[in-house]
Amino acid sequence: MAIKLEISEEKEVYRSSYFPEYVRPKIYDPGLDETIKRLTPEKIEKAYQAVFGKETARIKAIVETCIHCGLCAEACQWYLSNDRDPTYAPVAKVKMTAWELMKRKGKVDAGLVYDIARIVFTECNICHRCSLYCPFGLDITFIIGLVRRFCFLLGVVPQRMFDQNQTFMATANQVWMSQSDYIDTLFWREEEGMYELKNLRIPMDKEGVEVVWFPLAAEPKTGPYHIDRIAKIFQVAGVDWTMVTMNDYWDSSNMPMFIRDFFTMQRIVKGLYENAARLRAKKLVLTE
Amino acid sequence: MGYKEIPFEVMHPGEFYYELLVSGRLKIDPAKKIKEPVTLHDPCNVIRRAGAAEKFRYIVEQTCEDFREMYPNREHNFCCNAGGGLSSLVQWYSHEARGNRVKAEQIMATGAKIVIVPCHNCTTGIKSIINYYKLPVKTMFFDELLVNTMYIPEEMLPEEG
Repeated sequence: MAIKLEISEEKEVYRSSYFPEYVRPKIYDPGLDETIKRLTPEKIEKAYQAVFGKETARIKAIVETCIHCGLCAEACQWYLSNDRDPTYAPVAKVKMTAWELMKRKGKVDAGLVYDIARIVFTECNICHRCSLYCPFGLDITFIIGLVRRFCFLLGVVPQRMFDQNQTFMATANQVWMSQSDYIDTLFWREEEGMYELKNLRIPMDKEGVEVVWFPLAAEPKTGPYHIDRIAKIFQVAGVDWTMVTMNDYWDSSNMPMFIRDFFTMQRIVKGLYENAARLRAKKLVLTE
Repeated sequence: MGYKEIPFEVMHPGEFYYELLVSGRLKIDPAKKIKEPVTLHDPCNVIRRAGAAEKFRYIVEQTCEDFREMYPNREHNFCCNAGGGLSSLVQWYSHEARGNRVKAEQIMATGAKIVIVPCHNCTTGIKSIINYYKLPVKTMFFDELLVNTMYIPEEMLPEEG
């Protein structure tokens, strides 16, 4: 993967109208810059009511227990890497997103939605390291997830993430791979691997096996060598294993989870689960 | 989903490879062990949430001669910065790499030449740091590691010609 440094050094600066200290390089992303033009105050309030309207005990417990001690800041790699800029601290991310929304009861304009979407989608990895260092063990990433859900309901999501979500809706994998392409790739890898290991087999839809292995969709698409490596390891170890090709649910990556599209997310998980249960597997091994 | 108890075990390949190695189904060829210094990146999902840290260290110690720990490690590791869907955001790659200088410093402090990254998502993140900061290291998966070092019985090797 080649990255050009020249295009990445942004000269223009984005300044938030809500938070004077939030200054970032300007990065054009159609998913954020174009979609905020469609927003109306009614739409924003409706999405706010859907996500934060009930004010459940879990949200309240997290928001009201936090004492702003800032221990989470030292845990965040964004904060440490950006010369300890306080706007990158997890507590600041929550303050600028969920607290701001709850303080204003969802009556905000599109400018704030842009800031919020930028913070929750591009400055937090939901890695849970901050919760590990919180003296109360508050689940900060749960709040970030809720705000992601709020942004998803408004459609303000970075373009590539939304695009991948729609790919999942249409094909149940992230790379537009059809069933016939998938089966063809597995046959091809079996043929290639035979030169290195005698009688290499990639079993498909075998029942009563020890292991069902679900790849990442990028493996048959861009890294097919992973498939014959796994096949070689399993063959040498004498594992009775199989891959699933009988329907579209074989991709173990779940991108809808990241933007909190619960419907597509549960479709994927249910599909994988039912496939493994139908083959009566003892173990379900997802890819690395 | 209708099942309170899942009728099968769900695991990361690292955990399964550990089982294969411990039970002796897969053997490592001592002559093929990796000689270069290696380090291990701990992916958040399987380490911090599923606690597979010691299993991963067992695999690395079996297959590599010079294993160096990053600091902090195990469940206190830093994220690869590609988690939470950032791995797919091509427009934001340099933003993402700038946001993870600590990981680059962490890798360089070990002096390792190979970073073992047992996660596709993390590989994207580590590769963007390597490209951005021009680090003299390369990434490797567990499957590549095991395919290169495992003992293959004579009868499984293909015939000449």
